[in-house]
Amino acid sequence: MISRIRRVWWQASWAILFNFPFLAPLTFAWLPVPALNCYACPLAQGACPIGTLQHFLVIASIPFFTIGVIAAFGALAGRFYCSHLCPFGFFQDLLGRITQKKYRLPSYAGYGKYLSLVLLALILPPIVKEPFFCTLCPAGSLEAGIPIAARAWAEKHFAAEQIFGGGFGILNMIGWWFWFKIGILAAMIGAAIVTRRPFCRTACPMGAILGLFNRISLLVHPPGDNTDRPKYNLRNCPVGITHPDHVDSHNCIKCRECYGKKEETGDRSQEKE
Amino acid sequence: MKKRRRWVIAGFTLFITSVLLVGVGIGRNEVNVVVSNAKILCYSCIGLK
Repeated sequence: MISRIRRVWWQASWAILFNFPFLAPLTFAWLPVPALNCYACPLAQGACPIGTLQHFLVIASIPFFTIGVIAAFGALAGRFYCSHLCPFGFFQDLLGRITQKKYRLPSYAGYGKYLSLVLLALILPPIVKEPFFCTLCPAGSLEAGIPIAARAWAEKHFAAEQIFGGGFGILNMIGWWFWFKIGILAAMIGAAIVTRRPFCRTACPMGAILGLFNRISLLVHPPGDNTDRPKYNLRNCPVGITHPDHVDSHNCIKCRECYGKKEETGDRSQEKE
Repeated sequence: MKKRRRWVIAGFTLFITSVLLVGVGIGRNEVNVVVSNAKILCYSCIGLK
């Protein structure tokens, strides 16, 4: 069923469901969603798992519930959510369609997401007493920073009625850090045009956590052995996997675009070093 | 195939453990903390300091 429906429609549907405009915001605030969807977005329906995790670290409490929910999602499908549900991944996929020529990221860049998870999302928040990863997160800039600032600007200049509630005084609070964060988003957008899913591959802490479950999750690619090895076509792998043994590794987002294809090749002739 | 079965057992065990963790979290009333944190506007997410 999943493979029959084009992935882009899954992604678009879930981006809308995670930010559903016809329900009160944060109707499902109790549920950390298995994707990077900022809960400061005026339309967000669920909680951001990384933001929630950091909040518990800031208040010096062990987040049993959040860890349990993330682990349950991970045990079911690993990084499948990155490819089919994550709105920010969808945004990067759309940007990736702008040009065909892509630059290849070095393989060690895949470990950057663990650095991001450990340093920015786990170690620094209890030290600086704020969700430090959120202060840099480009998904937060895109889904919350820009819409909220734009709404405040519209209210000021056009006396428009408040659409989503709140937001007074936001414009006065905008400082250099806001523009720094917008700069990170701009850099990510530029990178997403010339390489595939740069944020997911190098910096996403949620992808880092879910990647740990990739091999043991219920949803895996068909097992390979000497006699019945499936042939993967890795030519268009969105995360740059080039070897069949690395399918379902921590970098694999289980998009299944390689699945069922006859051609097995590591040829990525369209990518430049 | 045997190797795969080991992974399945590990995954199933992990899933059961995660459900138990969720239960512990609910018992500790963490859901309310998650909800209240989500409903407070996250200024860090917006980029305001």
